[in-house]
Amino acid sequence: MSFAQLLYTSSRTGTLGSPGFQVHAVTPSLTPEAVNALVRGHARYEPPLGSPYQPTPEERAELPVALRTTVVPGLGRVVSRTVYVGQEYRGRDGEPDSGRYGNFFTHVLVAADEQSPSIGDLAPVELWDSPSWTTDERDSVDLPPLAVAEPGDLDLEAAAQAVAAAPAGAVAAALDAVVAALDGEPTTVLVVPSSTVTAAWFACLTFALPPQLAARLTFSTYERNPADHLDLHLVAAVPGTDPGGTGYQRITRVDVTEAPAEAGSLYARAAEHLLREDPGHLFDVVRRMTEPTCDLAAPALVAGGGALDVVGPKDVGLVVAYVAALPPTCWAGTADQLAELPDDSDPATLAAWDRLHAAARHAGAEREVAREVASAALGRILGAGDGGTANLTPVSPMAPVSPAVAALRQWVDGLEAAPSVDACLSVLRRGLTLGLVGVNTVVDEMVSEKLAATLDAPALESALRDAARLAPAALDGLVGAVAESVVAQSVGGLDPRVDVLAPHTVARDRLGEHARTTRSFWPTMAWQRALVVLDPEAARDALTTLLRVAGPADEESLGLLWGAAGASRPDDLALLLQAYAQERRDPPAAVRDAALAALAAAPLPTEPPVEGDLGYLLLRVPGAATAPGVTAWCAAAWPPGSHPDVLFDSWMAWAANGLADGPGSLADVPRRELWLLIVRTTARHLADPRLAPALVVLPSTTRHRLLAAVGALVATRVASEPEAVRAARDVFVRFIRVLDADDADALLTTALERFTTRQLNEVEGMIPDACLKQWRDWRERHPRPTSATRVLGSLLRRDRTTGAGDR
Amino acid sequence: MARAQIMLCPYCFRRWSTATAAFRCVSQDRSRCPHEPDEPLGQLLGVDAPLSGRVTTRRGRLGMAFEVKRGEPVRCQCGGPTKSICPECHSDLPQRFTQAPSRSLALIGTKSSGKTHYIAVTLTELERRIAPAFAGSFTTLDDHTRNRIDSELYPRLFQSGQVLDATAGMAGNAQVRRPLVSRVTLGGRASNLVFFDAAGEDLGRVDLMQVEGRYITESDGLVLMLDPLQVPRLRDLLGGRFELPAMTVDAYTQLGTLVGLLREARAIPARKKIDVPIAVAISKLDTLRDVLGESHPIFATQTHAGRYDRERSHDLSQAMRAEAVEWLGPRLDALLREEFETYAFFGVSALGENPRNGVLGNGVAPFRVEDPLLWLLDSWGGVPT
Repeated sequence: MSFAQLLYTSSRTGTLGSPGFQVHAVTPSLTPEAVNALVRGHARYEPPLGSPYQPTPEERAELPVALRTTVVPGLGRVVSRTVYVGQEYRGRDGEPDSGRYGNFFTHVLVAADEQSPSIGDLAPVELWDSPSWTTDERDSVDLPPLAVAEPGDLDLEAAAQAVAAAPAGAVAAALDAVVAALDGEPTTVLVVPSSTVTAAWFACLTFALPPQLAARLTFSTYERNPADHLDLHLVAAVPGTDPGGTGYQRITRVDVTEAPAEAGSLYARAAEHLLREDPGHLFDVVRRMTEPTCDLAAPALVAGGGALDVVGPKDVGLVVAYVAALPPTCWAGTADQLAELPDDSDPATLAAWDRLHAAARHAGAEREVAREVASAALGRILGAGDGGTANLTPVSPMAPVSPAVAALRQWVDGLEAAPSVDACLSVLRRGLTLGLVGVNTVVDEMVSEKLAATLDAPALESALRDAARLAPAALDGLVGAVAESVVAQSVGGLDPRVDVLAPHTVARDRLGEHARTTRSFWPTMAWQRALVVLDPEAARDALTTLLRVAGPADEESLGLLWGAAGASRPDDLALLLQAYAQERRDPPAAVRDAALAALAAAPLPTEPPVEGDLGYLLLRVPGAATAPGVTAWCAAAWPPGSHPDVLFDSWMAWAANGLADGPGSLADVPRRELWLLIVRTTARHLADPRLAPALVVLPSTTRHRLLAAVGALVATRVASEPEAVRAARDVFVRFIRVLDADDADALLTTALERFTTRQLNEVEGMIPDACLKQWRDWRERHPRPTSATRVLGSLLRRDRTTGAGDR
Repeated sequence: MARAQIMLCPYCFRRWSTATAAFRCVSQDRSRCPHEPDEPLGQLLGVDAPLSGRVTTRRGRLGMAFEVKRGEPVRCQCGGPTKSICPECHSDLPQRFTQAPSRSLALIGTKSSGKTHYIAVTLTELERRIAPAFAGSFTTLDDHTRNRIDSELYPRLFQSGQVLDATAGMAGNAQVRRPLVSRVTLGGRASNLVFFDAAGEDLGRVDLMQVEGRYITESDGLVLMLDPLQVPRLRDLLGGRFELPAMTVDAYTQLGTLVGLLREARAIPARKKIDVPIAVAISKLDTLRDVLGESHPIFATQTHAGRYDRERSHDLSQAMRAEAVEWLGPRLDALLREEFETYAFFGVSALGENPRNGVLGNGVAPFRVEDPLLWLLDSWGGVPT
């Protein structure tokens, strides 16, 4: 690798062919256009104002050196050094220099590769004081390439010390200005107190920049008029130069002898901090950076350099997000400082803390460090309250890293301080999402107690639903603990939250354990209620279990097995009555009444009864056997003849009682069923001599209505007989004999309604004489309409149907 | 309302009509008036378009110059104040630059021919002696010119008696690229004078410089400094008595280069002469007292009684022309006659003595430095006759 060179000075010989300022020697590979570009960019020098007009060699040595670097299109990185050499023509062979003063010597090196950001491996600033520079004139205009560019003796540590003497914030201000210049903002004119510190500043700024930026940096350590060089990113202004004003001029002036009014960017602040604290570390961290901009590199510098002290509230999110993206192995040394970061309630910052918390909880290595990180992040998330934490990253309580107890305590405190059920649910939801439930037994107990003490059944159901959704792994633990808290708080009653807990096996187990331990009624009731909620078929066994521990005072509460409303279904009440029966105790009136009401509302049985039927059981309950529902049930269960003891008259007595109004009367549906049953049964027993006596138990209106209905059945049956007239005669004769006049009239009216006058005349011809008088009396009471009357009646019925009668 | 006139920008060397005026917002409130990339300025400076204040353009009506109304300064659309700039390159213009005809002078000469000293001394002489002699005035038009005179040229030359540094090539030297801008009013006639200094070496490579090269080709007048101490015949005569500068290119060669540049840049056909007046100034006249003799008219006492004496000037020109032909041969004069419509010869001494080891023994004692300038001003109508 070699580097094309160019020497520019005022000399007697050179490419001009005559004395004067000219390209003194140049590597032949450089084209005229390249030479011209190099001269334009690098060949200049004017000593500072106030410099001696004819400086001695010693005074010349004190004049500032211009180390310049630019990127020349078509050539790439170019670095030059220009020094003041005094007179125009250099003496040789013992002759003194001659000519006017004002001469300078520029030595230019061109990178071997157009894409290379440096000269060999050396950054431009490393060529400060390099022994590769020359001020010697050459005998030939042809200059061979420089084989090796050697670094100068620039000591970065010493440079950092020199720069660190600047007021606080000066380094950051300079760095920010340079970064801005690299981003297209005006050239930075760096006002330094002395040209002796220029290189130190330039070196520190160069090596404090992310490598990708430093590779683009162009600068000059000295210009007589710094503000004239807008093609450079950075120019020093030493005493004796014009740094330019601060008005509308197109430069950014940074005076490093003054503390800036504003704090710098995060990157710049961190860089300054590290430069003052540990410059070697700064340069090491920066050297490894791959970020293309300072904004992107800032968190890397802060976190990688351990400069979290400089993080301001607005920067927290950026830094935390960066740390979250780092592998946990990079967190060492950062964890403790994270907790010291300033507060910032910005949603983006909280989101960053959330990501960091999740990352720390799932850390696969450095778990102690990760625990600290997770705790710090958790503290910020919880400290933010509800604001900005709506979209927290779910973390499983089974995550490999759990936060410290102190951090969990903060959450528990928040839960306990929740002023309302909604607030409590909100805090719980946050904890569930963040995986805080199920990581510590004591904490879980505290949480459960709080939930048990605060949440009613709907709220608890909501909480458990959240837990199932957000932290299924922690659900069992939470449910179990809550179940214990609930049952412990449930003394002298059944907590309705048992119903909420019931679907959870762990809750039922805990309730069972508690019941078995205490062997008292209410814990057992809670346990059994949970079982019944899950499986109503378990009620029978539950009652058995409960009755073993129930005292007399507890018996009235057995119905709670079916919930706060007690048993209401016939089957449930049957089970309950059975239980009382087994204990040979009468059920409480409330249970009895509930059972009667249930029976009165239930459809009548259509199958033969069994002992477990509610009606059956009620028959044994004092005060229940005569209830309409029970007698109706008996009438349906045991029709006449179904049992030797059930005769028609006694059956009719049940049925008649079943139709009675008042307490325990049948509901509409079973009442209609019972009525049909009575009608059909009566119709089947028309030949029973006990019919008439049996009907006496019915009120007269009911009886007549019944007989009319029976008559309609008879009419149907008579009509289907082959000899309907004869059958009609039999019906008349039978009922006129066994029924009193009114009852017979009610039945016969419907039974013979469809017979025509001619048919009735035929019947009359067959009526025995003993009954003939009753027959004729009946016919007189029930004359058949004439044809004209039927037609008229038919028309009237039709008009009534169509509404024509309204006209 | 004045008619529009053509101005030459002293920075980009382009001409524009004063019917158009441009102004840059100088508000400090960048939040209300953010800076914008300024491509014309970037082209001038050879950099990416720098962010600068917003540019507002105004135009005069019916061929009239745009003039700022009294009490109604041009303001940016943000309401901020503005500063006048060149409509072409957007450089800040010197104060009141468009209020007087602008005349640019390019000094050409071989290395060490005395160009920088000539400018420095002429500006000082204009201010202290010449302008008052014409009942006129002299003022610098920008801070750069004032600072350059007050902080560099005057202290060094007039107070310390030390010669100025050699002028470096303008390719890399921004300082040289900045002209010295002044306004001289002679007999009530105001002119903006724009002096371009340059290294003698620059003329040889001016074709490589896109912007800077125009300082010569676009100038309104040329001053060709002819160093007698670089004329071989005179060196033989004066050697040993004066410190002789190194020999560079000869004046004839340099003039030939100049002619080519002007014709090409201004597209002047061969049959026509160049219409830029050129003053050929034989410098370091003090070294020629013995050669020319004290009775030579050039050494006669010079007075300006409020007017420019054309006839006297013509006589002196013919005298110095004859001397030049004597020393250089006829070819230089012939070249001038063939190529330029207007030219004249002068004899000047900026320092009054030849320095030894860069130091003036008796201080600055200029002699006839104003003659080329007054001749050029006369050719432009800028001086009473």
